[in-house]
Amino acid sequence: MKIKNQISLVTITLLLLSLAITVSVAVVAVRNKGNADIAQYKTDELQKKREKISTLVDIAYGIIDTNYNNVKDREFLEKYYGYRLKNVIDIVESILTEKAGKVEKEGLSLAEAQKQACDEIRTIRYDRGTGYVWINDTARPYPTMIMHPTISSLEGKLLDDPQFNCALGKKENLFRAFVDVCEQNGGGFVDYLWPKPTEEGLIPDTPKLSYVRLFEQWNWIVGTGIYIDDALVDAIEKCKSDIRIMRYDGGTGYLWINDTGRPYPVMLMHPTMPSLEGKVMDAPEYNCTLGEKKNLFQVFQEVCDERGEGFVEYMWPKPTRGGLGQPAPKLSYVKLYEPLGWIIGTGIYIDDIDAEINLKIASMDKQVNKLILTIVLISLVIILAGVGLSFASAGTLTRPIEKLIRSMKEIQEEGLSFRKVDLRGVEEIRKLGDIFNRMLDAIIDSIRRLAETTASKERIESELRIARDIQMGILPRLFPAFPERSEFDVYAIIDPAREVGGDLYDFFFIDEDSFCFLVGDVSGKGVPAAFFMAVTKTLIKAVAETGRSAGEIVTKVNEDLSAENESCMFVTLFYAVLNVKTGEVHYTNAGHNPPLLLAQKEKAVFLRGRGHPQLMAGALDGVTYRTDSLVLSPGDSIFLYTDGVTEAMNNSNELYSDDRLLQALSNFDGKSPEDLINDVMKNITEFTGGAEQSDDITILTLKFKGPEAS
Amino acid sequence: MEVDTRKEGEAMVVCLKGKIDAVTAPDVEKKFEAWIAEDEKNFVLDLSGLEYISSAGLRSFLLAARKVKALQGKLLFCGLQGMVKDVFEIAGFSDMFSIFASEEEALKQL
Repeated sequence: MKIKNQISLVTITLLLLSLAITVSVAVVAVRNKGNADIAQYKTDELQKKREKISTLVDIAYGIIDTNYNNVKDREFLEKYYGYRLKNVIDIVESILTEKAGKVEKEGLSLAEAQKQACDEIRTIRYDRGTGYVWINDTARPYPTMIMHPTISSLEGKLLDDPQFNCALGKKENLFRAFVDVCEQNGGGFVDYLWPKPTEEGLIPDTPKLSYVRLFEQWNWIVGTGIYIDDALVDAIEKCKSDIRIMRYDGGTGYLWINDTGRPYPVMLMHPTMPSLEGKVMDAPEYNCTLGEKKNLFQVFQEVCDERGEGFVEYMWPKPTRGGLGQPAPKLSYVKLYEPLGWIIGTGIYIDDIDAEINLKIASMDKQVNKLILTIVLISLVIILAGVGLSFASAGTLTRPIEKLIRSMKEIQEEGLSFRKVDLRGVEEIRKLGDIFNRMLDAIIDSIRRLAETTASKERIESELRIARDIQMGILPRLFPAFPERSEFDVYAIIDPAREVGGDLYDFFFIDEDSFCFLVGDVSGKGVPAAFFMAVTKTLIKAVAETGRSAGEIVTKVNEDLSAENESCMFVTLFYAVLNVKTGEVHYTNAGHNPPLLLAQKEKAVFLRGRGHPQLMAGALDGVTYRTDSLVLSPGDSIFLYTDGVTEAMNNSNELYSDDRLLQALSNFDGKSPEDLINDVMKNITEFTGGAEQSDDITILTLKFKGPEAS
Repeated sequence: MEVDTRKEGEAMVVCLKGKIDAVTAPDVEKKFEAWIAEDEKNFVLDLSGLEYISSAGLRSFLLAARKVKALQGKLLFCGLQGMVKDVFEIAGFSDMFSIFASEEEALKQL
């Protein structure tokens, strides 16, 4: 994966993560607040409803209690029922007045008029037949019953039976009480106990309140009364109807009344379902309390048994416009009215709370969704910006690296050509570019120097090869060197350790008979030595002339070489001149290795000359070199060499040495200079065994053959 | 090549050991230059430990001798033996330089 993508991926992941966290934290916070609000709302609303329905029930309770207590109040009853009773008596009085008028104006007999009046009055009934009118006279001490519609056996009888001693709560004869009231006020109320006529017959000793009035023309007392229990029933009915019409909440709120019948109560009043009235509430559908699904009415009873009042929650069909709908949660308050054994209750549907809560939840959800949407939108913008930024910032990281890769590829494909990489961005990247450029710089520089060095080395080497050719060219290298001269044979070999060397040899005729031959070794090696060698060789050739001894010639050469020789270069020289006729050799040795004299039939011997060794040439001016001499017999040879021979080294750092050289030359007899030199060279090569040659090797051998040979 | 030095009065005693060839000769030259730069002008070269000397080595001695001579100082040799003694003789250095058998003898000459 590319760095850029990886960075972007990490950034996006982080942003998404923070988005998720933000959203969940926000949602949880909003929901918690919302749920707390909803819980509070529910509590508040329920409390409101509780107060409302308990208040309503209390009002109903108050109404019932007032009505019920009124029935027990004599004054209330007189006021409330007296008007009705008076009305009845008014009618009766008008009948009596009409009959009495007939006696006076139409001549009807009193007895007949009274009989007609009695017949007419006897038929008067009201209050479901319990209301009737009776007539008695005003006789004292006890009146006589003139007419009684329900107990006709009393008619014509003296009303002195002790059973009538039940008036006004004083055990007074009620009929005498009637007479008393009429004599005092012309009429009035009297309460007493009296048999009540019902469908099942007369119920004795029923409390009754009666209104009596004196009809003076005939001294009749007419009366009618109301049974107190009828008043109670009236009151109860009134209570029921009063409660029945109590509606609230737009008609959906109502109160009901049931009794305390056991095991199941009976519905006494239910305004929305009148069909339930009078029914025992034991149907399974009433097993609808929340939780245990107990019979609702039994639970009402339990609540009232325990505390006289209380709340119950249950499910109940909810009235709708089209009738009763689905059961909905309902909260009811019930209160026992003990005097009547009634349980008054009202319920309020609390589904509206739940509905409201659902609305609130929906609204909260909406808010939460809106919140999430807002956060997501904002975050989306942030993420887009973040991705863009991370891409850009990743780009600033990776672009330079890609640039670097391109540069490296170019170098790989097209070779090194210095093209600076311009890397921008963070510090490390800039450093990388810097170092890359410097590295490239250094590589190119060292390659250039290597190329230069190589070129220069090649140039020097080629120059050295040319120099070597020149150096070798100034030495006589054509053998046999003097095929026309039979007096001697000369052979030489030179093998510089490097391209050019400081060794030299030379041979030439100074005059017809004088053959000059020499070997030299310039201090040091290489180019400086080669220069010095060339100078020396040229100088000798120029100085060597007839008439000068060998010592004089080298002395002259020394003078020329040492003059202005700041570098203290010097050369060791063995310089000799052979008289080819006589075999005489005049020589001088300027610090050179003593040559070997290979005299026939004798051992090789170092040619040290007379006296001590002399200083090499070029080191010090003013040195005078002596000339030594010897005479060669025909067949004798002189073996000249440089220290490259004796100081040739093998791999054990051992020197070839004088001893080994003497050994190699031990049987020189009869050998030509060429053979001799080749033998020695072969011996040296065997000794060194391939060890690197450290010094120039030069050998020159001259064999004197004698004048007679020519 | 190894070089040990010590001061003996006015003189600096230089013990050269090992080999002086074309490779090590420039070192000898440089050391002499350094010593001379430190105002040394009298030298006793003890060559008893020197095993080999090439012509380049001889040249370095010649260069040293020339500088010492210019300062009116002295360059004395002692302890020559073996191949080195031979080379000195062959090269004619015996004529050119003051060579002593021992260091004590050389120091007496200063």
